[in-house]
Amino acid sequence: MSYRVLIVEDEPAIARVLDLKLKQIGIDTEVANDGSLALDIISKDEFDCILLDLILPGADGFTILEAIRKKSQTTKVIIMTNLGQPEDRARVEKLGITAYYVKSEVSISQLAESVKQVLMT
Amino acid sequence: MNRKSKPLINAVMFRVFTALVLLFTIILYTIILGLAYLQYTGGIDIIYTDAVTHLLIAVVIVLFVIGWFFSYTLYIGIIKPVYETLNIISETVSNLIDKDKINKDQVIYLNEFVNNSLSQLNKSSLTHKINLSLSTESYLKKLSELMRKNEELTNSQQELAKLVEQLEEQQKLLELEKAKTNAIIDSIPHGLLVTSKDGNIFLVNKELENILGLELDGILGKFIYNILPDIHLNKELVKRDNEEAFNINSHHRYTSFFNYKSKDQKKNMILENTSNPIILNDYILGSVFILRDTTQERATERAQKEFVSLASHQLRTPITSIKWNSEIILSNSTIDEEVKLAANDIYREGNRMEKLVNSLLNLSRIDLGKIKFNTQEIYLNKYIQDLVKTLSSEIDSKNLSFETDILLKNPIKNDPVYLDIILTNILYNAIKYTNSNGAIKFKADIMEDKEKVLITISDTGIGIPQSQQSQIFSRLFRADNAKNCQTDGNGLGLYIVKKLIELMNGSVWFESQENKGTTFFIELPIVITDEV
Repeated sequence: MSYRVLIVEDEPAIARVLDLKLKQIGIDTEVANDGSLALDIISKDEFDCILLDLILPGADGFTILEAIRKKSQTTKVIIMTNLGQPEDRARVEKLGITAYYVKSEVSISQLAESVKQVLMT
Repeated sequence: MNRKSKPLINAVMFRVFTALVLLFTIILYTIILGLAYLQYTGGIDIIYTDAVTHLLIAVVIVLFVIGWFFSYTLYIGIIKPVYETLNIISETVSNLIDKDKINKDQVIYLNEFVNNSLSQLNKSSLTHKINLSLSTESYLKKLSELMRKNEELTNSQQELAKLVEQLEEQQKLLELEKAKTNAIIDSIPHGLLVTSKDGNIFLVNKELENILGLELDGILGKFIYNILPDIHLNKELVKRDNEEAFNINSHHRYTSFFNYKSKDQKKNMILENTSNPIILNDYILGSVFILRDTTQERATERAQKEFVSLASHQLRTPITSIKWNSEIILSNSTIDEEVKLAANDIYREGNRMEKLVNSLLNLSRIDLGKIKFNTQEIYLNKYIQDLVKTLSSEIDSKNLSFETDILLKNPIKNDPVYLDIILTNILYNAIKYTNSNGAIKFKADIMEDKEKVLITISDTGIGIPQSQQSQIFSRLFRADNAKNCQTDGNGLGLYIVKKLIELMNGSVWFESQENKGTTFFIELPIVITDEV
């Protein structure tokens, strides 16, 4: 059985390449490129892991994380954002996250590896 | 002025002369009266009776005229002027006794009058011939004494006048100084407020009136907490806004930011206060407060902060896209070698942009004073191993030897994010500027005071030219030889390193020799404080 991962990312070039990379390593993915769409998907579906951007149209990542936590305390959430400031990090850490990555600072293979490890633990 | 009067010198002569005249007159009268008696009694027979009688009458008339002339001359030449002089002297003396009436003109008039009288006495031919009475002499002595005193008085008065003049001049200077001081106080571009020891305001400058939007009358004499209730943020510690609270708050240097709203609600701003006690001879006289309107600054700062956040997101997004997409191309084993090289270049440049963005973000956080350390225990041994792993591809590609020598076993307490920035920067420089097959050594040891750790990073690289060593920590500076051998530096790295180390209360320095190598020394407290 393959793992299901939701990618919440509004930037098409990033969402596409991430989707491609995760599929390459055998992960079943779904992409939400809008905050409100992500909220909708999360309310209806279950995922093993959610890759979540913070700045999004519709609803921001903080709101989406709150919605995820209302539904489940155990869903694994990896933040992948370009907000690197400690305040942003502290805000999401309070709500409960598995990992936090500044996108531009990691390579896509590092990120994919991290997702793989998170899913397997 | 001839004050040594000749009449006094010739007094004896006058007395003898007068006595002779009187004696002669008495003898003549006696002879005439004797002759008249003898003729009347018929004792003698005078032959030239008529002639003698006529002669005697003529002599009597002449003597009478001489006597009258003497008397008149005596009165006009001596008695009258002496009498008048004495009158004026007596009047002046009584005036002199009453100090309120001291009048310079009067004294000058007296001097002139006495001089005139004396010169009149001297001029008078009779003064040489008349015997002055002893009382007149004593008056003259007194007069000369008084004149001497007058002269002294005149001198004293002149000195007094000079002194008054000097005082007036000094007062003018003082007034000028005061006006200058006031002008300086009013020119201070920040609000100035001074209170007494018990917190009552007694001095403010124009700018303070402007900032607070209050008139001077509404400020002076008031208790400071009535005007600026929030100036001391910790006043709740002492429960009340009273003098006690003021004393506790104002006996040391104090900086606070507080919100000020004027009563008419026209002013609503964030003021910065820096206060300090005024101390004279170990005694606190009061406190001085410097107030600055930081409302605009705060708004700008917020805007800058927002820009930093925006820029970080906006710039990082395309960088992520460039990096990840080029990485996907590179991971495809079927692509041509040329495409691979191109994709590799794109990836490398993406990384370079990423570093630049990070440097700019760190820089603006440092500049905005936004660095806050989030400390945790760090075991340097493991930490450096992990760090070297992230640099291993660069180390390996140049076939550098990397040696670590960690002599402290206990963890240090530091912020791993910022320690990473510091050590990665210096290690990356060491790798970048060391030629292939060179050596890099990382050493850490506890210092003698047991409170600091000394980290030493040495390389066998190109070194820093002697002439440029002083600029190495400057913003945007890159040494000439560094520019020649590596083009991707941005000149921000060491500036950020130094600033961060200073924020950690540490210090950084280096030793370098061109073409031999460089050693960086980083001295850090074993435990850094969380908040800066």
